[in-house]
Amino acid sequence: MNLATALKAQETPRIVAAAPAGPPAISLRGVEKVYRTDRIETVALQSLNLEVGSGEFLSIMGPSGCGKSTLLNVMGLLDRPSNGEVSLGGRVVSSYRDKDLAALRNKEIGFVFQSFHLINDLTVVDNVELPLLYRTMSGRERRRLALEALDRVSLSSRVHHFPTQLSGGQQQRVAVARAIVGKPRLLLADEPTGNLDSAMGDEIIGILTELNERDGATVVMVTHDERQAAKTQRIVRLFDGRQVH
Amino acid sequence: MIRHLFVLVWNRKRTNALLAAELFVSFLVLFGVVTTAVYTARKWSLPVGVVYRDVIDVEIDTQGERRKFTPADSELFRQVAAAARALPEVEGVAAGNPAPFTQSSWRTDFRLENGRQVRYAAGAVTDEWADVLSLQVTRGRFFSREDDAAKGFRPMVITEQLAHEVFGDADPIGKELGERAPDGSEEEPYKVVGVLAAYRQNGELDEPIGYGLQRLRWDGERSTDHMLVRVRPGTTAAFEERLVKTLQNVAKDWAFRAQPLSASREVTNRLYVVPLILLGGIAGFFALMVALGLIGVLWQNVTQRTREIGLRRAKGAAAANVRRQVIGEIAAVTTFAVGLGSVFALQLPILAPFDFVSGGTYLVGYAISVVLVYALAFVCALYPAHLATRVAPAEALRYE
Repeated sequence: MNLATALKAQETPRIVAAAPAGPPAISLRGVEKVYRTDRIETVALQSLNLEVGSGEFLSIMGPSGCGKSTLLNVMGLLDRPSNGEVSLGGRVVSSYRDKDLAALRNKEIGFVFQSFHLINDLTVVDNVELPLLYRTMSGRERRRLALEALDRVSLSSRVHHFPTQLSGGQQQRVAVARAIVGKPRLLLADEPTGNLDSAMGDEIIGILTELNERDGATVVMVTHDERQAAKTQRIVRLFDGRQVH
Repeated sequence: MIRHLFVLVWNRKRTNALLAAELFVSFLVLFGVVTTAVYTARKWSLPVGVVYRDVIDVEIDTQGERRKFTPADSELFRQVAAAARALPEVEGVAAGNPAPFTQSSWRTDFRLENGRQVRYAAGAVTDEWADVLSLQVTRGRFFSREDDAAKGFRPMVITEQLAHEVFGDADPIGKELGERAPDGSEEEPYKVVGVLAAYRQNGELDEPIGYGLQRLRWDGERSTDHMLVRVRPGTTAAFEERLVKTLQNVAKDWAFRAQPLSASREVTNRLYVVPLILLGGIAGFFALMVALGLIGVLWQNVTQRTREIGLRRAKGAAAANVRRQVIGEIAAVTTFAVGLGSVFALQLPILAPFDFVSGGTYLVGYAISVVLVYALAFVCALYPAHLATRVAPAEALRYE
C-alpha cells in the first residue's frame, strides 16, 4: 500500500468508542486550510475529518509543520478553514460572524499555549481574569472566579505576583487557570509542556487530566512528547496536513 | 473593564510616560489657546455701546505739545467745530479724548472703603458725545449745560459695569466716585450724573473694563486732539476731503486728518485678531505634530503588542473589544495627563492672575480643552485601533 492509499484509508472519521451519546464536542468535516501568497500556495490541512467526543482527552501528534497548530487553531475558531465544516457542540460554526465566534471562544473554549502568553504587566490574578473581561459580570464575581481557578492549580499564594516572578511551570499553571476560569467545555492545549522540564510537564498534564476526569472537560492537546501523549485517551497523528492514524 | 484599563496603563507607566507627557503639554497649550479664544468670544458678545457707522473721526494736530489750550486756541477750536457743523451733511459734532478705535487709552484706579481696588478706563468728552455716538443713557443724564453751574464737584458719566463694581446694586446717581486725599487737598471730587449701558472705546475686542467719562468744555483750557462728526447716512467718502479742506481754511496752522470710525474699527480689530490667528496657527501646527506623534507611538504600540492582541482575541475579544481596548488605554493615559494638567490649569481661576479674565472664562476654557484633548487622543487612536482589529488571532499568537 503506497502512502497516498494509506492516507485515503485514514480519512474516514473516527468516532470515539467511549464517547457519550449526544453531539460531539467538536467535529471537522472535509476541512482544508490553504495559505496563499502572491507566489506560493501552502496546503496546511487537507480533507480532514475528525470528531472529538464530549469528555474526551485527545492528543494530536506529528512532525513539525504537519499542521498540528493549524488544526488546533481551526478547532479553536481562531482560524477559518478554506473549505469544509466545523461544528461545535452540534452547531455548524464555520460561517459564524467574527463577533459570534469570539463569544463562542470566550464561553466554550479555553486555550493553553506553549509559550504561556501571559501579559507580563498584569498580576497573576489579573491575567486569569482576562477572559471574564469579555463577559457581563461584576468585578467582585470576576475576582472570585479567578481566585477559585488559581486555587485549582495550587497558585493561591501567588495571586499578586507578576508572571516574570514565577517559574515556567507556575506560569503554565497560571495559563491553565486562565483557560479554565470561564468553565469552558473544550480545552485546547498547544504543546503545553513544550517549554517545561519533564517534572513540570507531568504536573501540567496531571492538571489537564484532572480537569478532564473530574470536570468532564474535553481536552485536545498538541504535543511532540510520546510519553505525555500516551497518557491521553486517543492520539491523532498528522502528516503533511492529513490525518494518518 | 475600566479598572483593567487603568491597571494596565499604570503598570506600563514607563511605556506610557512619553504619551502622557505629550498629552499633558498638549492639554496645557490647548487650555491657554482655548481660554484666550473663549475670552475673546465673550468680549465679542458683550455690547459695545457705541454706534460707529456714519461717524468721522477728525484728528487735529495743533502743531505743538499743548496740554492746555489758550483762550485763543479754544476760540479757534470752537470755530473749527462750528465750520464742521455748518456743512449740510453734518448732523452733529463732538470733541473728546481718547477717540474710539484709536488704540490709545487712559486707565486709572482707586480704592474703595473696603480696600478693594477698582481699575477703570477714562476719557474726557463734550456734551454732544452721547448724540454723536448714539450712547444709551440708562440712568440719570449725559453732560449738558446744566453742568456749567456745578459747584463743589465735577460731573462724571460712568458705565453700568463701573457702577456695579463701585456701588453694587445701589443707585450711583449723585454719588462721589474715587477716593479723597486724607488732607482734603485734592481737586473737587467726581460726582456721577449719569450711567451708560456700555461704552467700549476700542470696540468688540477691547478689554471689557468699566468706563468713566469726564466733561470737556468747548471753552475750557483742557486740550483735545479729536473731533467726531456724525454725517447723514449715505454720505460718500468724498465728503472727508471736503471736510478737511473746510476745517483747514478755518485753522490754517493746524493739520487735520479724517477717517471714518468704521475704518478705524477695522484696523483696531485687525490688531487684536492677527496675534490671535498667529497663536491659533501655532497651536494648530503643534496639535498636528502631537497628533502625528501620537498616531506613530500608538501604531508602534499595537505592533509591539500583536501577540497580546492575539491572546485577547483567543480569549473571546471580538474586533470591537480590541478597538475599545486600544482607544480605552489612550483614554486612560489622557485621563492621567488631564488630571496632572488640571492641577496647573485650575490654579488660574483660584489665583486670578489676570483681573480682566473671569473665573467662568477659565472654567469654560478648561472644559473645552478637556473635551478637545480627549477628542485628539480618540482621533489619533482610531487608525491604530483599526489596525489592531485587523490582526488575525492565529497569526498574532505566532508573531515574534
